Amino acid sequence: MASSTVALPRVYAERGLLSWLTTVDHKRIGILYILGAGFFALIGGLEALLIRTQLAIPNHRVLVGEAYNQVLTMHGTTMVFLVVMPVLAGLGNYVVPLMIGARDMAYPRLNAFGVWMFLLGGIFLNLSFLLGGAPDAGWFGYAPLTAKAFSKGAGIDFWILGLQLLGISSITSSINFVSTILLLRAPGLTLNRLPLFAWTTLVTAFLILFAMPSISAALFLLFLDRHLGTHFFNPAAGGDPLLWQHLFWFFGHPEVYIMILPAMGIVSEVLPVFSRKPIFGYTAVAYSSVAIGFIGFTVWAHHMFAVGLPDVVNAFFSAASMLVAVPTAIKVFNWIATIWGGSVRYRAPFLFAAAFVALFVIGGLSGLFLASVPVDWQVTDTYFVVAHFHYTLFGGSMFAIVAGIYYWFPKITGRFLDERLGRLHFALQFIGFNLTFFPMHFLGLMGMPRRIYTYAAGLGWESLNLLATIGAFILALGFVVFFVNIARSLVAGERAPDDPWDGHTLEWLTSSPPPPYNFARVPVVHSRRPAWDRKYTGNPHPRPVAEAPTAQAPVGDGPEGDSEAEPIHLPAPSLWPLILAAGLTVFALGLVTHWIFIPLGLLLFALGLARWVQQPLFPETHEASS
Amino acid sequence: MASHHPAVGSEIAVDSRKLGVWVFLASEVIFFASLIVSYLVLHNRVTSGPTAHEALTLTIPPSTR
Repeated sequence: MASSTVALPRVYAERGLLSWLTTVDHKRIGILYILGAGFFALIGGLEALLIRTQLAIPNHRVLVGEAYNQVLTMHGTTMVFLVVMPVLAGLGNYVVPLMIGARDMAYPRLNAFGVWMFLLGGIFLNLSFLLGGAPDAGWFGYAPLTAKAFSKGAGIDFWILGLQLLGISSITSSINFVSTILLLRAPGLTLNRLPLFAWTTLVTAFLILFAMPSISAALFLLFLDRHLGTHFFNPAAGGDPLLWQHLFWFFGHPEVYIMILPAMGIVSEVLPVFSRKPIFGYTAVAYSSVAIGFIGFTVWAHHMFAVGLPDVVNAFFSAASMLVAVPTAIKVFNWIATIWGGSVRYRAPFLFAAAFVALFVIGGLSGLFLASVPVDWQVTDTYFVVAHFHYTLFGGSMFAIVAGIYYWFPKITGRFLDERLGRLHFALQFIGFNLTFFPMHFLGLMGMPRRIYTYAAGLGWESLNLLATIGAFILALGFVVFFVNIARSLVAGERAPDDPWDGHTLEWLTSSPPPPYNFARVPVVHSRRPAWDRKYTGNPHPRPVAEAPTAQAPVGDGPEGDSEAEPIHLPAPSLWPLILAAGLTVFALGLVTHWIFIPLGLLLFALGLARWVQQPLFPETHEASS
Repeated sequence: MASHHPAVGSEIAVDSRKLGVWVFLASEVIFFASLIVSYLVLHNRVTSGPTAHEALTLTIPPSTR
């Protein structure tokens, strides 16, 4: 096994389609997640524009009835499962192993399986548009609307199986994150020194592990209802539609924390670096994430205040929901205290992260309104709710994701995103977002219900709806600028040094982009800001020092960290995770289209699984044993 | 097998393969708990046909219904 002492082996071809299809490198997998999410974001964004165009004026007839329902359902499903979750998984995949000084994720091939399952599951869901109509029962799929009697087409089946495939992807990637973050930290990187993005990714992984199975079970029962004549959710035969709501929201509410916690982690990385200060209250920020994770499992029925639960139950879930504000507010105060008195650099990542704090507070406050049962009864299923969750998921998650992309783009590509285009993008996104979603608060209070495809004139909703539509197009323009910026910067962006932002965490110690093995020597960590402290500690007049450790700068790689003598083992590339994922997807396709795909899918699945377990993880091991 | 006993600073001394399976099993607990809860909510809620009590109560000799 240790026959090869060549320090830095090249284990895969650098270029070519096959090198991407067989990659097990967490960095390439992260890029695939982000690119896939970017592609689906185009689809989901287009769907949003269609919705806003239809609602721009009363009695508009661009997208009516079932077509509107399909686009509305797919917009929600796409943005949740195919954009926000995977882009956060992608950033986590790329950045977390670097942040914790690991060479890769704990299970590299399982990681590859996760990304292929996401990409194929996303394509599978969107295939429904071409194969007999997309799902049209809302992203929450309330029973009994999803029953065969009310949804005859294959759309709901695509939705059920697509979400199952995406659930498998999320579960496998979460197992990987838990093992990686708990087991593969660099020497000295205790949990109390763990970067906050890694902390929130860890908590999120646990949330996915304990929330996702609930919807998997519910979808399984729904599939039986639709095809085998069971009546789990059919009230006409003694079933219980509320059971669906409980199972769905037991997943659905932790899901919103799954989408916001890593975003909070990104902001907790960006704000200190651009304020040139340590995060204020590290322990409070880290443990409030854990608190949000725990409380997140006790609030699901606040989505069901209007269904007639007993008052005691409503009171419990109302109080628990308000309790979430405490750890969330702790974070907000710590972010503000981090910026306070800092020497702030107003670069694009900071602008988006600071906007996150402001917009997320608005979303949190309207959330507090909704947590109160009487208020919820007034505005439930109105545009007030739409405004609320877009302020948390777009003003929150999406602003933080964009901040993270501006922040880590130099590390991922070795080039900066253009700062002037970045500011233009920020202005358009910030103005467009608020124009779109702030008026919806008022529309909701005026009684405009959500999920309707048109409305009558003379209700006083016209001007605000038109305003929201104009805002949506400004927002879309912002994203056009963003994508142009990415495309331009990939080709002609300013070259970025290894540590362009004077960063705090380990990913800035390696080259931009990092080599496949991440670190030639595993760094040793002595503090919460290992990269910063290497540059500054011991200097009476702190100044950035060169990347190569100098005599007076404390060198982290002491004798303990000197692993030069050890060969670096990188896992071998493998095609089988892709084959396995393809097998499951083809099998799912067989269940909704033609039966011939079922044996075909099972065959691919068996082939992928058999070859996967036969293939040794490390090529060196194989050579030595044969 | 270097990756299963990585030379890193984790204070948790568990084989990564074991940890992964334990984490997966923890997740499966919720899956089956959801199914069991569904059973508890729905059992004996029928509009027609034999109830669980009728179907599972055997008498010898068989009683005529």
